[in-house]
Amino acid sequence: MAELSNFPIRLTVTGVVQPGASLKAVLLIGHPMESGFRTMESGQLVPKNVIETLLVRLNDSILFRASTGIGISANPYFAFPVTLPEASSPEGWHLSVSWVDDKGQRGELKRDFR
Amino acid sequence: MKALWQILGVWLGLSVLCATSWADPRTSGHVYLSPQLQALQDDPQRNPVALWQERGQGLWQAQCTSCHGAMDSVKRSVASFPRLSADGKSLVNLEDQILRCQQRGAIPASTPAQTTAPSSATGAGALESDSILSLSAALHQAAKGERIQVAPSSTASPEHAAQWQARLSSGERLYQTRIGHMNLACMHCHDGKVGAQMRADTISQAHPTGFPIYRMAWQTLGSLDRRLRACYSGVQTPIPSAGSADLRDLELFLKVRANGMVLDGPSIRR
Repeated sequence: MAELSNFPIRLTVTGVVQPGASLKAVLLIGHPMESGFRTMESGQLVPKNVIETLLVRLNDSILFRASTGIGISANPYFAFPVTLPEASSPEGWHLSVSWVDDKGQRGELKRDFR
Repeated sequence: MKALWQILGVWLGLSVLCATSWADPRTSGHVYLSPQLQALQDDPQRNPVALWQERGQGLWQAQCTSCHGAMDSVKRSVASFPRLSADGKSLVNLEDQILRCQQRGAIPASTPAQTTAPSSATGAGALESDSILSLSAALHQAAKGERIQVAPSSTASPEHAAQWQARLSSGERLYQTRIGHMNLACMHCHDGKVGAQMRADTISQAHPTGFPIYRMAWQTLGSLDRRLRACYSGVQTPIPSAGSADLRDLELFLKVRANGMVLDGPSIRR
């Protein structure tokens, strides 16, 4: 079972929140993203450790799912548009972010905005 | 009458000269960054340093406030490291001080999250641990705008002050001594070739105003200690171990050299 880590996640949403609005979201995840090709001073390889899947949901619908690998830098940065549905949501809007890495660690964040 | 005009002319010329030399010729490493990296530095949404800062603020709230109070109350002293320990035997920089607090048991030493590479990869051990770098980043952020003020303690005994002076001289000597296969001293680049390109990087004046730094080549946050060790690697000479006395002497000299300059807070570097 994936273990919940406390790697930091920063999510910033900018724009005017109203039905049908286009917002900009910026996501920054603290993660070493070790490719497995670097060597330590001892000459041994640094063990590979990268985020493999990233899932972003707007309320209950999936906004996108990303398969990430060794080509992504450390502390990965994602910027993406968020288009709110025309129908207003009675409980407001929230984005939830979750990622799982190859060691089975995972991170989650839920952000309400209105 | 002519003589009077000549005197007036000389006086005017001198005063113009003085006025230009009053402006501080020293600059922070920030000005040598590419426009793209400067933009990254200035954008709080994208700047990765925030990951450490926020955790550092959380750690401070949870573990440090009972002794030290609010972070604002210690920001003045952030600008005064490194300091000579009371016994006069070791120079202590801010990261050392946080580590000492941890070792005294004030702060739990390990936090589960480790955004940096395993410390064995950098050879720095505990000094480059996530919790220490996070606290250092948060403290330097709080101290942003403070002026570097490194001097021997005003209440120090003459022996203590002499010891401080000896460490400063040792740092200055290190700064001026040629080392490595490259046969270069710090001053040959950082005094003599400022603004020139070294590989793809621009040589700065080496004023430590922006530490800890998020260095693109490291893909993580690192301390001045680590940056200095990278310089040893650059001139191809054996790299001193993290926290060695030489590195602290050099840090003391660099801080004294930058006395009066404004701290930038944790910064992006190439």
